[in-house]
Amino acid sequence: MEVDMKIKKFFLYFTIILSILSFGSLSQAGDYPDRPISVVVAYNPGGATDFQARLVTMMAAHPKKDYLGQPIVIINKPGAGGKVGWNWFASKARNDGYDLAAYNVPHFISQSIVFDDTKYNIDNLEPIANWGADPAVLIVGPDSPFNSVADLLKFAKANPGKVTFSGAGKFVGHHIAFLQFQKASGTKLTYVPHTGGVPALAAVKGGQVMAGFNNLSDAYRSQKDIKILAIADLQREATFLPNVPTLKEEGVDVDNSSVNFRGIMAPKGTDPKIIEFLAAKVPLMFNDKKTLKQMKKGGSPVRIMNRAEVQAMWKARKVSLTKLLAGLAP
Amino acid sequence: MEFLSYFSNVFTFTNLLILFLGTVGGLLMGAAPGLSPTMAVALLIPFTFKMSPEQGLIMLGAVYTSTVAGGAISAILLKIPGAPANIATVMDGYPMAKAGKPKEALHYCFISSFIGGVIGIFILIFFTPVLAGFALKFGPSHMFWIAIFGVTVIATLDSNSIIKGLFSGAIGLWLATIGYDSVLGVERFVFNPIFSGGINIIAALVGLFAIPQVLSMLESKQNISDQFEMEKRSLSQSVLYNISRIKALTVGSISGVIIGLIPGAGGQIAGLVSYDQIKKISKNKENFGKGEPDGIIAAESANNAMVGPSLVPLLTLGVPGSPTAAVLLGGLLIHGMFPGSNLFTVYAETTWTFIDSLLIAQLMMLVFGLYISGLAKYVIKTPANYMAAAITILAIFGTYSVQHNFADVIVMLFLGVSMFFLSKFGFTAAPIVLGLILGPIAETNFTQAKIIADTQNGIFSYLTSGPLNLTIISLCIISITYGFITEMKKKKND
Amino acid sequence: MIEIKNLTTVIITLILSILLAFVSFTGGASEAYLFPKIITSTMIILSSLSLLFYFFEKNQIIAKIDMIKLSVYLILIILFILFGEIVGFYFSATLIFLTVCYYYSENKATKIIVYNLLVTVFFMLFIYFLFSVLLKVQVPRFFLL
Repeated sequence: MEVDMKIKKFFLYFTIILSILSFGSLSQAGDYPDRPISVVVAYNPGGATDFQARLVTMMAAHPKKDYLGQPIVIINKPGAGGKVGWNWFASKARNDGYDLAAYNVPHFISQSIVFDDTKYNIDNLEPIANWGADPAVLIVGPDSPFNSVADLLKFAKANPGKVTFSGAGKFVGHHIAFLQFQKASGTKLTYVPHTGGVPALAAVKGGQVMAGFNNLSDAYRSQKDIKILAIADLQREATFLPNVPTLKEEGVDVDNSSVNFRGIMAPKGTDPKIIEFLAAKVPLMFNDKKTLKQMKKGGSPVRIMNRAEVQAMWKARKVSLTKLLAGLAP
Repeated sequence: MEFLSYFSNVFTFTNLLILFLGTVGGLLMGAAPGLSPTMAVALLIPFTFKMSPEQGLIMLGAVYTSTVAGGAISAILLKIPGAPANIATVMDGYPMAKAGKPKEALHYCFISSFIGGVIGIFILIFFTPVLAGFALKFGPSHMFWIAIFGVTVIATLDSNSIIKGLFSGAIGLWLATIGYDSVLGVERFVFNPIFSGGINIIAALVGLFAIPQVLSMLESKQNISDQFEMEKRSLSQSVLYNISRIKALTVGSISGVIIGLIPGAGGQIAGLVSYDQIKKISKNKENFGKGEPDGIIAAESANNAMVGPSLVPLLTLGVPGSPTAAVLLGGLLIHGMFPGSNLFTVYAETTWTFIDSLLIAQLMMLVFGLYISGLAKYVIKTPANYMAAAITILAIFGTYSVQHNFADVIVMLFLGVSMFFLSKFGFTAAPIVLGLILGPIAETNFTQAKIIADTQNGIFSYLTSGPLNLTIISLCIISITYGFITEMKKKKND
Repeated sequence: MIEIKNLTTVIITLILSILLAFVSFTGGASEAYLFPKIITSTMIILSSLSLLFYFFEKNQIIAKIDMIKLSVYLILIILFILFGEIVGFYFSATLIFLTVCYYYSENKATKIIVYNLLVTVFFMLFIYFLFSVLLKVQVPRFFLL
């Protein structure tokens, strides 16, 4: 019994000391940011979003640059095509400016349209800035008889439903590009969803499927093993693939709805002053010479957009995706 | 012989230090229940930022190889595999430890890991150009049959009861269907939001093995060492015996190499597949599951033989052969190195130094592993209550760090407590984990196969045409028939 | 103390498979539920087979579970699931470690308690160093603890 009392007393003191310690450290709130900022990535470590997020944030705490003055820590919360991470972010992240996340457009917008259990949409998230745009490209295997979009369409028109396309799952950029391509060209094609961009690319390389939509960056890296026929964007990609035409140039009316935009966002309710501060500093950080050099080396197309531009882009995407995905819910 | 000329690059002070820290740290991390190789590599990627590409790769490579071997330490001493790859090591490793031979079991584990690992890396060094295209040959139909081949292993995995083994496997397969399916874009069985991410393999592995073990420790209040007398064993005896087990080493290394080359989650089943093979062809089948050294030797040589070949499709095509290799891909890209022929031309120096360092890492892992084998008795002598508390905390923290997701911790604890009761009913955890690994491979590839087949001549002809399909199908048939014959013989003898 | 008999096992497997089959067959879109249907049908066949075999075997007790002894640990786990994310991992882990060490040790002398405290502090420091310092994992915390 005596021992029991001792234990109880101990726990009591222990709890009191712990709470004093924690409140003590709370009261020292200083100028934002005074501790590391975390950025949630809704995909696995090693994926394109993950490694690009790590590259563009690596200069955050550089002592000679006036960016954030504090390091950014990448936290991976993968699962369900990004839903797990973004659901957590929209419902549980603290809005004190220390919890930020990376977004992928069109993924999160199309998910918020198609699924009714997503806790996020463009209205409860605050964009900070955009760092990259990875357009979907139309690719075929190295031994494919198709050498141009026209070849492919000619075959597809003669054999409706026979042309198989790989892509990284449903309702992601590749799927959107596929749907637009099918609609605009008036053909019937078959979409084979894969569990990620890398397996989808491997399926094209190995001839398991006849064609595919994949990320420009991944396709650029494996140019030797595939043929890149066209790019699903409004203009050509000048840095990496200046010779690849857009689908529009090839006579198929596909816009940039499927371009995979990546950037950083904050949860709704974050102090407007903090958002303003981040919106001013983060694009500068993305524009750092060293960052840009690393991104180019890694084959990742950069497109820096400020907060106002991203807000407009999100709204425009929401409208076009709602129209495109109408009647496609699972 | 290009690789020989880059050995000198490995032997700088900094590189050796990184290699040493990576190997030792990897062994210890692998041994901690809840820290898997994939996670260890993922968590260490930020560290490589401040390093040169060469140093970063050396560290990630060393951690990759040594965590795979480290996972066997807790498998043998605590009955908790550090990674799915080490499940097969539990089967005979833990009975050996229980019989007073933990040191001997650890000796076999590290010697076989070393032999398998070196063979695997030599495959990487000499056969990369030949094997580069091999991974691309595997389409949905082939991957589907490989998963089915894995399912045939489930039937014979539980030596006590085929029905209970199959039933456990089916539970695992069913659990794998929970959550979002990225191929069909639908959610299944998400009764509660915690399941929306599905059942994470590592969370399931930790829960299904660690928590029941903790509960039985607390129930019996017995230290593992209370149950037996420690046996003295010299290293030279272990080495001589291990090298003489040529059959087990060959079976292990060959299955490891082949499975490593096949893209996808295959790497996780290398240990189990080779364990199943050696069990089927061994002369003393009845000893398996009771502490047969061949079981450890085959499983661990396969696990490490898988490492080198899993890098072949990664380095040449950017197609990772195992989940850990997938994370390594990100490590390469961060440093601006693309997989492909560039790695062996523009970046030849970095690439070959990396591959050479893998060989040195194997050697370091062997020496350090054998050294800590002698310390096994201290782990086993730790009082049960401390051990149980420590494993619980490590399991919680380890599971959380996989995906920074509290739901995974809940799933882990829930599965763990359920498994404890299920084990009382005579069910085992290994078939459940195997089902969880194989379920998504079988289902994803079947669905893709069906979509593709509908544009051709239908699903049946798609799944059964071509020499590769027929080869894997015949392997499945051989595996089932062999298991059936063995079972009949056993019944007759009884 | 709960005793488990062969018959209990058979009945539980049968109930479990019927339950899982029910949710799999009433799930919805047929294409997505093809695999769950195949799996649960197999489970029903397997459990019916074991019911068949049961009549040829004797009904023996195959295991015992000491529920009273385990209840403290199980309660700790349930409390952790309910409150772990709110009160933070370090706080709850410390409590779990201390309680398990104390409750499940044979010797409950004051000396052992002091020893337990020391072990707890060292172990938690090790966990903090490994996960928070070295691996930079951000576990749920209560304010900053």
